[in-house]
Amino acid sequence: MTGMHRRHLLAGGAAAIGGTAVGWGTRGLRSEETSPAAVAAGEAVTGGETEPFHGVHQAGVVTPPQAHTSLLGLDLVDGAGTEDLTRMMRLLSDDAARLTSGTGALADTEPELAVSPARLTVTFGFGPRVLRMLRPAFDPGLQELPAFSLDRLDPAWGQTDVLVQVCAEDPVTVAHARRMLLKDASPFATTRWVQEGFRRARGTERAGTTMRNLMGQVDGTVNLPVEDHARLLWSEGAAAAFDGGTFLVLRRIEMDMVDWDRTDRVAREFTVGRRLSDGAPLTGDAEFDEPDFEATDAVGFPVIDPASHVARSRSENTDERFLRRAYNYAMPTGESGLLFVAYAADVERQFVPVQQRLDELDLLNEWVTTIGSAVYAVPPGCVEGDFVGREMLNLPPPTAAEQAGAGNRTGGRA
Amino acid sequence: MTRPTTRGTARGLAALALALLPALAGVLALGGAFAPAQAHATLSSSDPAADSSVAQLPEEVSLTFNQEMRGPAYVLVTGPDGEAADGDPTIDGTTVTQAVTPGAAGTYTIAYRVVSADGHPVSGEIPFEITEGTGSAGGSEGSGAADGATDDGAGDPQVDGETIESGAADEAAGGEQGWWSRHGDHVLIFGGLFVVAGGLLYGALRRNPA
Repeated sequence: MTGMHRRHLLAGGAAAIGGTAVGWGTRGLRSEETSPAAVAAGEAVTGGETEPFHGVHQAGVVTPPQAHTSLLGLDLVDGAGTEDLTRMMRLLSDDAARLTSGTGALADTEPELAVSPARLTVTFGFGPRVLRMLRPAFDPGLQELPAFSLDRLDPAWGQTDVLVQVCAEDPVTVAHARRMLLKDASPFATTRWVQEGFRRARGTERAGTTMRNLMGQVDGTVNLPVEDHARLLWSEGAAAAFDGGTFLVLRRIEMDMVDWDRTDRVAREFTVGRRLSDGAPLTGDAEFDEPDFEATDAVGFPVIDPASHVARSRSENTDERFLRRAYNYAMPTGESGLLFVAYAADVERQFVPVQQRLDELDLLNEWVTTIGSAVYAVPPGCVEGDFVGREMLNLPPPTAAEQAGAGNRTGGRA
Repeated sequence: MTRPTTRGTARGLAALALALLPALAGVLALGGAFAPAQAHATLSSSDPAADSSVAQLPEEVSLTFNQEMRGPAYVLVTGPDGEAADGDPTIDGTTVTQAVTPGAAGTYTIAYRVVSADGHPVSGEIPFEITEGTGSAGGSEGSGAADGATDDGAGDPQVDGETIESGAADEAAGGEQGWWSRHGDHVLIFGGLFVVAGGLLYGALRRNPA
């Protein structure tokens, strides 16, 4: 009400006094609309929040998923060896350490874009060809995934030598970090693909809400709880230089949204075995209720169909689980789907059996097709002044001087 | 004071009613567009037919639907001797067949669930009588059927010829029931909306005869 009164008074005053008063009046109104107090009351600015780059494990694995991701698939240039890989990892680790803390990369041409890290994480992975290059000094036992009969793999989204997973709450931060990293990687590697993904923007839903995929399903209810991370997420004892590392499976899963549009709610819920409204199993009341595969309908058939997605992905072997950290994708050309990202200490034991079951039978297969597939060894994290992958490259740890230099932000670049 | 207020309310109601009509037309148009998705597969016929009587159990029972079926399909054939289905059903276009082992005379029920090409599960029960049978089962025809059925293992349907509800019998009877089951809710919803809109318009006009 007071705003209205003031507006009327101002308008009246402007009419009475003339031209100069009009300018004064509108300026007064504008400043009222965007006063700092209104901004402060309306929304908190969170762009300054950071996720630490250094640590026992790389960031971006157990980090609560940020809203945006950009997955960079790099291939080492012809003739590049471990020395080139070492130089690249030194550079990129330094870039990542700076950018994730809100500082421009060395020789950053747009350092202003780096001041809002918005929980930026940069995670590195090595593909099977790189690991073969590192043998016999280092062999964490990574195998390419077996062929799955329903996969329709497009090499454009295929296995690369190196993966860089860039995640942040803000797309400008992601774009800037991506540009800096690709620029510094360019002497050593070419970019095969960039896969962009998104979840709900921060603040849209309560933090920790299970994501929905673009088919509308609650996706990722069954995930790996913290108490299982030591055993099923982080590698331990597979290779000395890999303790604290993990493996990443990336599957680009295309959704047939045209046919899904023709599928009604009953069929959709029957297909997955969960309710669309809240992700509860068809036999339960809430998302995290255990599905009851024994429950039968009036005719006597299982309420959750044995061929449904939830039934087929379930295993009695509790080791067949992994950390899921998926993102949606939607291309300007209309294709959309899921960037399925899973982390596991042992891909062959934990992930492959599940995927084989789904490949064999899953009602959802009618609408989803994997068109890209890759697997990477994610090295353990590094301390300040060090770089990711050093142990795997069989190089000595950084000297005290190197670490001190990193602290002063002067070292690291050879 | 009261008169302008009343007129204002009446005008508001009239505007609301008028605003509702085009919205309703839009909803109807959408309903039309979505209608094909509502036309789910239904059972067209079966062998043996629902509520029929045949001398002997055939070597296989078959279910024919009005659309292509995708599967998976589950078919249980329960009679006086318990489960008579033998092996897994096969799907060929619109027809699902299930091999059965011959059994005694009595009441049988085919319980089925088949996923159609649109991903929708179609399920129901088809009761029928075997008048002669192999003569091996205990209990004579009819009265002994329910007892036999309760001997089934866990997970099998509890079959009772008397309690078969509309779903199975009606579906087995053919496509006749299809229209109302597909469009009944549309009719009720749109009809209701029309009544509400009409009522609002009427009320508005009454209150504001000018």
